[in-house]
Amino acid sequence: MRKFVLLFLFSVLWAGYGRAQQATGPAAEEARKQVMQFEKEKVPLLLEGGTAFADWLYKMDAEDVLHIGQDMRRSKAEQVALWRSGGMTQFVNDQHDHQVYVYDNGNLAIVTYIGTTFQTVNGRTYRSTVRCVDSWVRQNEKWQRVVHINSPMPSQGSKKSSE
Amino acid sequence: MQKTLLLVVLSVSWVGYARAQQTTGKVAEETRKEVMQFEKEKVPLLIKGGAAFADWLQKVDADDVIHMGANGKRNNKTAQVELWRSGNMTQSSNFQHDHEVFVYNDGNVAIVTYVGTTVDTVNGVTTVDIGRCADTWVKQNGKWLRVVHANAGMSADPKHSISPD
Repeated sequence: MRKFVLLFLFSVLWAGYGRAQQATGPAAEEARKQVMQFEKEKVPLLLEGGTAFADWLYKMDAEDVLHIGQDMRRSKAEQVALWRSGGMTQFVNDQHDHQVYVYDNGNLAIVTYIGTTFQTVNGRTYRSTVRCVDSWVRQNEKWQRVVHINSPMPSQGSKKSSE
Repeated sequence: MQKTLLLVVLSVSWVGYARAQQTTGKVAEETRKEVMQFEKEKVPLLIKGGAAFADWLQKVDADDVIHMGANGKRNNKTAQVELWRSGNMTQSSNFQHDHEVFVYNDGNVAIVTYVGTTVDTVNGVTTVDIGRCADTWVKQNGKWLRVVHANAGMSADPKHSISPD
């Protein structure tokens, strides 16, 4: 009987451990809300372009943020300059299917989404649909994006970032 | 004179703030070492394949890990583990290089980037795949978990050339 009870307790604890990997409760909900707020405020700024989005990048991205796409890796300085100069503009940006995963007691948030854009980069205009993964960390009560990586979706034939 | 002094102090503080975003010091070095150990032990297991790599995935990946491939497809942990355990995915070559590790949140979060060239066979189809990867790791209860493995494809690996033949 004692063995049975022990086995039962162990199973419950193990299941709890396995499921407790993501942060839960008010801290996690708050993290979700805050990070999604950044993701939502981003899209109108992308469409406004120029200084509006360059300033958002400057404020939200960590100094060592990684911007990675197919055949592309840019530093924060390069990405900010590209937008500020008008070298990159977007006239359509549809981001959807957001999912947020929270870890580290609400201090790490992973956001995934799909983005379809019509954009012009250095004079060339094209449409692209990509899946994106953003990693956000909270340090000293401030959220910063530390990675933005995207990959073209099957059959879309796109190559570039939707940010 | 007072204004100049204030400006210098402000500038130094600002530079310090801007550079202090990554965690530094011994904690960061320990994090780098621990996470790179996982990355290094991974490659021989990938080549061995089957249960060897499936068990590694089972151990280090979070239950809700995000696997994003260079084709934009997303796999969950169960599917990824099963793909390897069944032998439906194998690699005959895997060359990973140019690793960089970025440490945040007092050493509890690490981002690892690298370039990888692989010869993969998935469900009988063999391809050469080149990608730049970004993995996000988090330490919780003293245990490292990989929560993102994302791959953005590359047309060519500047440091490696390989043929599936």
